[in-house]
Amino acid sequence: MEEVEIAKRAIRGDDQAFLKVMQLYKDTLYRTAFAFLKNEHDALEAMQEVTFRAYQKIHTVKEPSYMKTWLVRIMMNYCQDQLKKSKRYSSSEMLQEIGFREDAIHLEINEAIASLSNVEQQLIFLKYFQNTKIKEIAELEKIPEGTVKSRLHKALKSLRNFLSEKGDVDRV
Amino acid sequence: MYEKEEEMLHKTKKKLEQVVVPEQLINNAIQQGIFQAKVEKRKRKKTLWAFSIAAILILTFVTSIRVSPAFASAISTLPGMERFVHLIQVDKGIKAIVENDYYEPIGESQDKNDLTLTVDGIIIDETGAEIFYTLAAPYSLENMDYQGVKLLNDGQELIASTSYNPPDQETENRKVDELSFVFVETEQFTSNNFEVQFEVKQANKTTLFNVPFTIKNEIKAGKVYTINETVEIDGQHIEVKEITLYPLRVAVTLEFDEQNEMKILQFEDMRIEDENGEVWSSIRNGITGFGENQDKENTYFLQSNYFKEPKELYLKLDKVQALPKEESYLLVDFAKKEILEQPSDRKMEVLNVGNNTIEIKYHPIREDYMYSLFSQGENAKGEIVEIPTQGNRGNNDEQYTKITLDEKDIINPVKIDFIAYPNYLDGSVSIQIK
Repeated sequence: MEEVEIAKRAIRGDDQAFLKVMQLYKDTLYRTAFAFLKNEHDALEAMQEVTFRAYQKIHTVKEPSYMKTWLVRIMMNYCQDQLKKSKRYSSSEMLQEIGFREDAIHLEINEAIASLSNVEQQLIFLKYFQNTKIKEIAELEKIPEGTVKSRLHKALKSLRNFLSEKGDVDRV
Repeated sequence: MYEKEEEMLHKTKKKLEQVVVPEQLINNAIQQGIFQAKVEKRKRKKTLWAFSIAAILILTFVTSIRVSPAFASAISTLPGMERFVHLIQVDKGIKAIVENDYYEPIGESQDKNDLTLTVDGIIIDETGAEIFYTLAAPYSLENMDYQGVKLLNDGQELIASTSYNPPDQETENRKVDELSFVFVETEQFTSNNFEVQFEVKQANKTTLFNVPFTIKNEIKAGKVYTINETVEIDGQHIEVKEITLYPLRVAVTLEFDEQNEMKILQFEDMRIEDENGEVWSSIRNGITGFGENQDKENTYFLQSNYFKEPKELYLKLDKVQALPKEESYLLVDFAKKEILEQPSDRKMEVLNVGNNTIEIKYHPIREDYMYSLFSQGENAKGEIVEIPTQGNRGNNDEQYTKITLDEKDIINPVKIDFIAYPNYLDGSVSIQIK
């Protein structure tokens, strides 16, 4: 598969290949940044910083076919660090106050996701937003597939609890 | 079991996919990120592992500059070269360069503050440049200091390791000499327009020269031999990746196997021989190589014989300095003034530890040669601690090295890797290049 070939070359230090890799996954990375940071400015800054970090560490990638997920994880880690630093949060009340028009469902699920631990957030994001296979997640995190599945279940359970506390589960 | 939640997640995902992606801005951000990473990489490459070997002048005559009479007369017939006869070493590579018209006379100059800087000529390839210059004044150039020199291509600085002789000159108000640039990465020039920026200072007055010039000759490309073969010495594996011949130097790129138990430090003997066993000898005075870290690629420079096309070429490695990885460094606590860890053979005796200094005594590693023992340190946080001064003194029996570290970066304990040490791998290696 061509993507894997390009990834292999990038890992070996081919600068052109690295650029191609970034081009291949830039939309995914940008959307990931946007999902966590919620605005264009911060998402663009994230693109720059994550490109920087990826370039420095690209030679450490062991599995070229997981390049996309590897990059997404760098992005998620960066975003979560940024969020922690700025202690940014969105509460549905606050956003509705400033006239932020977003479907209530999405606001709530986003809040619910934000209430999860960093590890669970990343897991939910990879599985449901990136359709990453359990097998791939397991290999990248170096844990058994069973553990991935049970962690996912736990995360979904937390989401359910959060949403039911807000009393909005029935809306779906 | 969690269909409701999964459905909500799915809907949110769909929403996310509708987010407008500002293509151009993203491309810019990516370019910026790559550019920054490359600058970072160059900076690190420059400070890491730039090791140099200077010949000790034990005897009273000057050994570095000797010219055969025939060669001298040959050079002096070339326009503009007669002044540099005294600089050209008996170096087969340079001789061939001159004979093959690869030295290009330039003759551009700038007058400033009564000083005149002339770029007389240049030898340049993708790995570096030798620039021959004349600095002249109507008065004595005594007490002149060189502050720095840069070479630019199309306005972009070519990041390099530079070396030049200090300005003590034979003729009082005139200095004729050579500037050496070794680029930290092989360069692809974007045009033949270059500029030398040279800053000098005398009696508190600074003069910055800018001399632009254009190269007319074609800049010769490197001849690459891709090898990718692994050799073994004393149980240690080294992959010979590629060997590239340039007019000014030969670049040998090696990679050390991560699984090696020993850390390879220096090759005292690395040379290339032709089918007749004739040697293109290795150690040039000055920069001998660059490397990022031990487990990745290291590049070594040998003298070049670019213009001679032998039928066969062989790379030979011998007298390889190495230390067991767990014992390849000093671990120092500068507050307690203690050495916490050091190689067990104690060939290096630490005489004393100061607030930010260490003095070491040892037997000379190699006759008539002085090796830099260290390149930089690493503090307890994993940050780089620079070693701005490394002084050596001694004779053929005993050598003393005193290093001074950048105080502001010291967080104890500090790990300082050896880049040279008198411990060797058994054996040698020969590998055919062509």
